[in-house]
Amino acid sequence: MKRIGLIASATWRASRHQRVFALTLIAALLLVAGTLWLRPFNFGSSELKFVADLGLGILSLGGAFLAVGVTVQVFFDATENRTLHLVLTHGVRRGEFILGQLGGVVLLLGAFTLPVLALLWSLLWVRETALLADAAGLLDGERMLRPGGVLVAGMALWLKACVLAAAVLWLCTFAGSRLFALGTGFLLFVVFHAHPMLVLPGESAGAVATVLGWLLRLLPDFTAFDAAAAFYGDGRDPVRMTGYAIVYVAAFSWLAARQLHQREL
Amino acid sequence: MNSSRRHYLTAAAIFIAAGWLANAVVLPPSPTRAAPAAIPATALWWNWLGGLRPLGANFAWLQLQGTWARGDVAGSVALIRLATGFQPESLYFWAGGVRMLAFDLRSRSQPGADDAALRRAAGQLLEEARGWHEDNPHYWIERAGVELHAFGDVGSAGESYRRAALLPGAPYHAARLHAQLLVRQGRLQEAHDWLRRLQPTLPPDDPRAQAELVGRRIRQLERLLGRPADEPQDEL
Repeated sequence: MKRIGLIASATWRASRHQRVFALTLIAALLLVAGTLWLRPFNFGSSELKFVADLGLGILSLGGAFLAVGVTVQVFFDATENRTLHLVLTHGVRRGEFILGQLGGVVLLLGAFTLPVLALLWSLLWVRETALLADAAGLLDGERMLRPGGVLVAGMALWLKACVLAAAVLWLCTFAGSRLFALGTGFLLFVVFHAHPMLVLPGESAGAVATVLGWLLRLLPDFTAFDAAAAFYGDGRDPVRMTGYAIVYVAAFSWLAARQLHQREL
Repeated sequence: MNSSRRHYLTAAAIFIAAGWLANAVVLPPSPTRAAPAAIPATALWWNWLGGLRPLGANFAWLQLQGTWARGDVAGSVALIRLATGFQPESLYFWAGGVRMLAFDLRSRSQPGADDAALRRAAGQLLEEARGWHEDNPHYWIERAGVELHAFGDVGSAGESYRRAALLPGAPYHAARLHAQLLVRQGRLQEAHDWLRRLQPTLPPDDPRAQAELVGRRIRQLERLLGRPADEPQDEL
């Protein structure tokens, strides 16, 4: 456990100083602040919902960008700089190395999610206060924003990014190049979101399509981490959502550790 | 069995066990989620954009105003599909798209444009919207309006108003319009029975419910039928 903690701490220190983290964080904060200027475009939904959806969308994409980019970066840095070899010669097991690296990335994803979520909540709070003041006497003054819902939405996006980071780390253990890992990592992000479409072939589908459909059903379903629904208190049970993420993070970590045994170092 | 094959078999077994545990035990599919068969595949491909989908839908909608003003049918249909694909959970884009196809583009499009094709496209869009908004009374009211005024199909429109009226949160006028369309089809007895069942459910102090108007229509129908009608058999 101590060794995992030390590797996680080293990964966290290395990754938080990477330019990609600072740039993604600053870009996300600016984009979330910029949603206020996009308010007039809220054709299909209310203003607050539109701003909340945009903010959560930026948070989701930014988290995915970091989960893929930073995970690939830290893993390939460790193999190319021979840090991995050094660590393994000191008696650290491959599983401990994988869990340590994942722990560092998970911390980094949390450090990205919290400030962006805090800014989004503040903006929504300010706009809601202004709208309630404008509609004084017409509405009962009850606030739509709930602190619990905001926290669960942030947690859902963080968990989703953690599952993606674990999947990408597994991918890195058999990927030959950074480019392959980056490209396939983003593809996984898209495929995991299309889960409801992949799972059930039509009634007229043949045996192969049916078996394939059931196999695809085993992939993580990122629509389970519906931050917008959680935001309005209508999302999935946070405890079950956490359990769902833990199962996949554990499975991908285990697969990564096993694959690392097979990899020629 | 060599070690490499054992490694891949073990990895596959772990993946299958984890996938089953996560998707069937820990977080089974939500019963409130729309059935996958009812959701257009194109809509699901945009899921990865998450909360940014409304922005994409709004930009497509803004672009649509230009193609619509030029009477460009193909461009408008493509942009309507893009907007509804980006944000299918918003009835706004479905309803606006159907109205454009069923009413506006028919009058704005270039000479020789296929009227029947526009009506078909509008009908297809209405049917796709049903997969997302079947439980929304405003969807059925929108559908009834298009069926009545664009397709001239009084029977289908009446049925859509009936379906709207039976859903929670339906505006009162949906039930009255269903009765009116029954009258227009000459089904006076059915209209009378429907209004008789509706009347006790209307709050007398809510002007939107128009309880007095419903009472007057019942009396008119009774005069037309020439006798006080039988008591209704079914509950509304």
